[in-house]
Amino acid sequence: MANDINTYLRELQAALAAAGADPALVQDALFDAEEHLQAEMAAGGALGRGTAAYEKKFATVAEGYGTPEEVAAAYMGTAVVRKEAPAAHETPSVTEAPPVWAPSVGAAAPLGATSATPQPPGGTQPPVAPLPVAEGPAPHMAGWPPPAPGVPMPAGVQAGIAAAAGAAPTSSPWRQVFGVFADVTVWKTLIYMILSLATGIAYFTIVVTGLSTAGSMLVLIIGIPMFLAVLGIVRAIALFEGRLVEILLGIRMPRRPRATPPGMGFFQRIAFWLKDGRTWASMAYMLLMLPLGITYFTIAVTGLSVGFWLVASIVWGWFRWADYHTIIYNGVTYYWWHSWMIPIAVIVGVIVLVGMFHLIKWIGRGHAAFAKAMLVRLAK
Amino acid sequence: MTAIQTTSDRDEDGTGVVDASVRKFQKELSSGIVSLALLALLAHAEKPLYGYQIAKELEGFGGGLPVKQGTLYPVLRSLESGGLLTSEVEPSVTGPPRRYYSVTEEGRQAIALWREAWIRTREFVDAVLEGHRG
Repeated sequence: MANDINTYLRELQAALAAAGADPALVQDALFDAEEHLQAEMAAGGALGRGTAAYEKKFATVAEGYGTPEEVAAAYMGTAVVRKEAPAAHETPSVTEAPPVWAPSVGAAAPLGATSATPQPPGGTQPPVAPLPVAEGPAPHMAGWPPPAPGVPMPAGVQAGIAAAAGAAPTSSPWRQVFGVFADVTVWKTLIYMILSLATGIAYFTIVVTGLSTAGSMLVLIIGIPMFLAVLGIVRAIALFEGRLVEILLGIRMPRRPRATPPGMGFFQRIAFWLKDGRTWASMAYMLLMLPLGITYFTIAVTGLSVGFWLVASIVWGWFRWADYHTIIYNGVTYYWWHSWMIPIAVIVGVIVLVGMFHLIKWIGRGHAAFAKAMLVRLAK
Repeated sequence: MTAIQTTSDRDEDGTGVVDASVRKFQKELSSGIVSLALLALLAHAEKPLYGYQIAKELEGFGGGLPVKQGTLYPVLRSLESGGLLTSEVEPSVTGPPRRYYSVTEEGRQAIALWREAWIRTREFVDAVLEGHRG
């Protein structure tokens, strides 16, 4: 049984980890709990830590907040990765947990429960509805859930519906091959890959110029605050990059800055920043983003332009522009592009484009896992 | 020893089962109601509120908050990711930064419809409980 905030936060972290929570969700939950417990303990006059009065008050406060297990269950129930349908590859680990708190009466449990089981194609209607309340046509409950065009439903409901719909048809080989073009995640990954050239250069420049400027100024006193400022910027960028990765690559990342443990003074906070492996992992990530960004950008741009060029050969072949693709060597004209090549070029182009989109999909997943490992690794 | 005996006695006459069912029912019941209460409170509030203030405000209504305060936060976050609430973090003088929540325009539209749904549900349940047919 926890008798102060730190112990409680550790227990909550353990409870969330035991429930299989995502590190990013753990970070958000700890932020909320810390905010609340600190405010509650400060209300009505602060008490000295370790005193009997403090522990007595903390017991009441923790009782009101809920046991770590209860709170963990609540977070597992409402966790939503994002508003869109999760891509089929994503294991909806958060929706598999019983959505005790999903904010919808009656409908929540059946929706959440169906998300794990594949649905027949077109069957977006959740088949389970033990409670008559969840059925639309029940006489007293006509128009339930409230059909409000343009008004978003509670996130839990959206996620449940999205998961039920998104888990649907992935079986046909046709879809497996060409489905990538309809996959919004892949298009978003493409945007991320193109952006990563700019972000990669920016991150690298910030870290390198920041560290070298601060390092060279270290002889003067001004170098120390500059170095600390660099650390602060690195942590801020880690949050920003996390948001970018969540929006574009669809993996849950922290929505709040990482809080330093409570009750720390200024120097202790700095020491925590320095000792926190996350600071250094984030910095390494920012440096690695330069080569990665260049690679991603190059793959995306060259791969897609080659594919489009080959497919588009049908257009310029039609206008006989292909005939001008000649090489004159020793007075002999060689056609390096013949009209009969056009169908082959189109087929090859389609293969290249399909292959590119699959590659982009894998890069997206791989980079998301990498970003998560580097940016949200939890300190012990 | 006495405690163990009491528990087994209670189980035999079914009280333990009833207690557990009450807790389960309360939990299931709360799942939508808490969202409604949070949205309504924030819609009435004149300025953005942070989690602890919200919990304290809710404590003051009726017989007090029927759920643990810690379970409000994930619902707040879920409402935010659904676009009904918006929030911003502001540093506090005394402790960690606080997240202030306020209702979005969509949230205001939603609350009106949620309210209707709630009233329909309440009337339906009351009617069933009292045995009145419509």
